[in-house]
Amino acid sequence: MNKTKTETPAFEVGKPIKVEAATREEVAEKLKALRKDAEGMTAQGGFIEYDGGEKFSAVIKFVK
Amino acid sequence: MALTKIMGQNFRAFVGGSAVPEATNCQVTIQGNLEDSTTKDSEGGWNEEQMTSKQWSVQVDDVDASLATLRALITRFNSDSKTTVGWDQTETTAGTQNRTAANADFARSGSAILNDLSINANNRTTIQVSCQYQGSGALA
Repeated sequence: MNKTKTETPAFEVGKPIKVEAATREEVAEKLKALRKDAEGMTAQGGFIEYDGGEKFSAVIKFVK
Repeated sequence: MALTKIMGQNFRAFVGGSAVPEATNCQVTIQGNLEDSTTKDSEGGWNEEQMTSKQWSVQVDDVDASLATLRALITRFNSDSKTTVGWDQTETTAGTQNRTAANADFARSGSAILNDLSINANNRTTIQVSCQYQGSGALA
């Protein structure tokens, strides 16, 4: 069966995306995947924050 | 093989998830407090040390000296509240003002308190505002 590649990106251009995970490395991986999807666009933000508890998060935005 | 060096402009302090705008300098200090654990059993005349606690801080110099920033910093200082502070390498990409985090291996963040705010006002020059955030809890 042929699979049709979706043309819909996993995010909205210009809209902030929040990424959360239990480790810094997991958040970095998710950001890396988003950057790959957004190839050709400019990333803004993306700083990985540690809340002092058990969660790491980052907010990234892609603009054209 | 040449070592990859990090340029100062690409090592930036981040407060509340954003790179501190217009700063000219930042300084990160990570320090361990030691206790002398030397005993009569210690050999060779050398002290023995053990880490009892750790602390960290981030200082940022010459932040944006606008009225809004100054007001926000004083409000934050008076509130004694904690905010997320850290550092990362940034990407020098056109249109990002060098503020996009590169998620470098050495990037770290944690909760911190604004505990030192200094304002330097020389005649006929823009004021210079510097602040220090003292870490409270783990750096990760």
